Order: sequence, then C-alpha cells, then structure tokens
Amino acid sequence: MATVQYAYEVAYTYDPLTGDPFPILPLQVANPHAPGQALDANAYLDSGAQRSLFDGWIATALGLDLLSGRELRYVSLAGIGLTARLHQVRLIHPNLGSVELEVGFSTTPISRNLLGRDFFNFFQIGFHERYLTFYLLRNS
Amino acid sequence: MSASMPHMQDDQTAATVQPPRIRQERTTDQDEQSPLPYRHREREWLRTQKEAVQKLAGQWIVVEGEEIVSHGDDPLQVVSEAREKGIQIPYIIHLAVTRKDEVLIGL
Repeated sequence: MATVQYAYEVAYTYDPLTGDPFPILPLQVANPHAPGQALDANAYLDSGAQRSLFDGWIATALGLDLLSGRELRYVSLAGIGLTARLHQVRLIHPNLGSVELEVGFSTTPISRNLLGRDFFNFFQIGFHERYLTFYLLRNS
Repeated sequence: MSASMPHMQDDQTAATVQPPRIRQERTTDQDEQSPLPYRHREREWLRTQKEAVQKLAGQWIVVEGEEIVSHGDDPLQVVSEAREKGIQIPYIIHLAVTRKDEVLIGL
C-alpha cells in the first residue's frame, strides 16, 4: 500500500451565504504572456472532471481573446454540454508553486471554476472529508 | 456550519463535523516560519460576514483583507473597479445563490 507524506493542508472553504464547506483551492490565474494580467479565484477540486474549466470572463480579464482558443465540448453526467475555448494559463499558489495548463474557458457563464484531472496530474491530492480538509503534494 | 452537507453518518460523525471548522491551513511540517495560507484572511473573514454578504447575494465581490473592495453583477467591471482602486491581483468571488433543496455537483 502506498503511503503519502503530504506537504500542504487546506481547510475546506465555507460558502459565505450557505455556510456549506467545499474543497476549494484559491489560486492565482495568470496570463503567461502578459505579466500583471492576473486575478485570484476560487476553484473547486473535481476529480470527476477530465479537464479544468473556468468561467470565460476570466480569460477576458486576463487579456486573452476568449473565442480565439480551440473549441472543446465539456459534457456533464446528464449529457448536457457546454462549449469552452482552450487557453494556456499559469496557475499560481504561493505554497504550491505554479503550473502551466491549457484550461477550458466556458463561452457561457458558469457558477464554479473546476480543477480537473489535468491539474491533479501535477499534484497528489488526498481528501479527508470528515475533517473538511484536503492535502496536496506536488509531484516530482 | 450548515447541516445540509450529506456526510456519512455514524456515531462519531456528529462530534467531528458539527463544530465550526477553525483549523488553520498549514504545511504538514509547519513551524513558526511557515507562510500564511493563501487568501486565508479573506476566506475566514467572509465566513463571519453572512449578514453583510447576504445583501450582495448573486453578485460578484472583490475582497481584500477584511474589506469588500468592489461588487456588482458584471465580474469584468468588478475586477476593473478593484484594479482602479490599486488592487493589482483582485480576489474575486461569486456569491452564488443556491436553494436549500439543492446540492452541488461538478458540472
């Protein structure tokens, strides 16, 4: 059995309105080609998502031309999909470092940003739901 | 904490999950020199501001420290306003309204 010594522990973030806790990682989303074009956003860890997905307005806020990215369909469990455009961004967390990912940005508004398995590829992630905590270790 | 989260139920769950979660984020080998958790101050502060944020339900907010710097319905406008106020990297949060009879799934 594998044993993992995680490097970073993150308490779940509480929804300010409902008080419900969620496994959210606040991180900086940055345009790798335009220093200073960045913002901080919450993203939900979602091991069921093949690929990360962010709200399309974020691409615009980073100075990216949303519709210039390659199109990709994201399909939900109900078979209903949405269209996203792929853009290379840098995801930065001061305690975890940064990764560059080609992230999907939705062309219609979405209510949550998702960190999917493409992000999980960079980190070993463990959930301890009972203690409302998750753990991360950067893959070497 | 809301009781609506459908955690597994057993004899110990109520005791371990019910109290407000106040543990600090940390590196697992934390010592006094460890950096502060990212945006921890804002998230903890928001957690205590339910009445204040209720008035902004459905809106986007930029929060810096213990202050809502800008808010509104258009996230681009809210970010722009925060940048105009000198916030170089705005931390933007959507105060999404969810019904009590809803639970969230990924997509």
